Amino acid sequence: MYKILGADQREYGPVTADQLRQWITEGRANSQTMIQGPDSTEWKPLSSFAEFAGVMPAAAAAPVVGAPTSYAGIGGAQPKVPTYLWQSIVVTACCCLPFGIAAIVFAAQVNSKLAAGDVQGAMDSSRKAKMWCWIAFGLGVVSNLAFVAMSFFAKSFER
Amino acid sequence: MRARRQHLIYAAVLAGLCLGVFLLYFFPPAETRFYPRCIFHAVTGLECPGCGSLRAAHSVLHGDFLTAFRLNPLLFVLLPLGGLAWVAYRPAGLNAIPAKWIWALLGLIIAFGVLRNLPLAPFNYFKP
Repeated sequence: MYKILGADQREYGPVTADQLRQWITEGRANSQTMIQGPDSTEWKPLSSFAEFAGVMPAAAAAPVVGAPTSYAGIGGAQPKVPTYLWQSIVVTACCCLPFGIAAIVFAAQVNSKLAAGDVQGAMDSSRKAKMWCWIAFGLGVVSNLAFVAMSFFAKSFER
Repeated sequence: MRARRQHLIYAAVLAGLCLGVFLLYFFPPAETRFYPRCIFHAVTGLECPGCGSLRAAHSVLHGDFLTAFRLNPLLFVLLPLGGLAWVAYRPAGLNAIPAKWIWALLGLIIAFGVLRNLPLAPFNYFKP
């Protein structure tokens, strides 16, 4: 049994050697993907496992500098990164136009980065989308409370 | 435990929705003080893309769809679109929505916000 470390820094497996061979042929793992072998707790690149040398595509067998380490979606487990899309549309329409728009921009970035395989970047954008949603929401609540207070005082000054 | 919490959330949302419908039906937003206000409108005097939504909801509840459409036509585009997206992307998750569609949506919202503030013939018809 083998364990695989995805580009998203998550562990996948344990899987059988056959399953891992299939992932290699599907391009989900390459020579630089970190693997934990059977009876071992040490992470080593896939290229150092002799049993998979035969399945490795010719181009990937020689380590290419700057090649993508591996796929995020090993084992078909594409990580979900929250976009906060509907929340950002709601805050845009309901209270705070500029901050809501910033949130929608980051929501779009989550999906474009994820589509490009940049899971870390997508998570970063997701955090920013969340932040702007909360800022917009908080500002809406605070300003409305201020409105209520202001109209209350304006009334008490009237004679 | 988790299912129970989810049920509580659904119940709270449903209760909030019922309260909202009740208030919106009996208290017209144009003449009532307690509704939330748009700070963008209060600060700039401009109509934001969401302005008129509450009044439109009030009109819809009274069956006046034309007035609702005049108050905020964007709602009549976004709500069906949202429903469609929910049906189409619920199995795969929101991450499956191509980024270019989100950019297009953002463009639509901004364009509507600009156009509805123009003092020109077809657009000022929609000014709430």
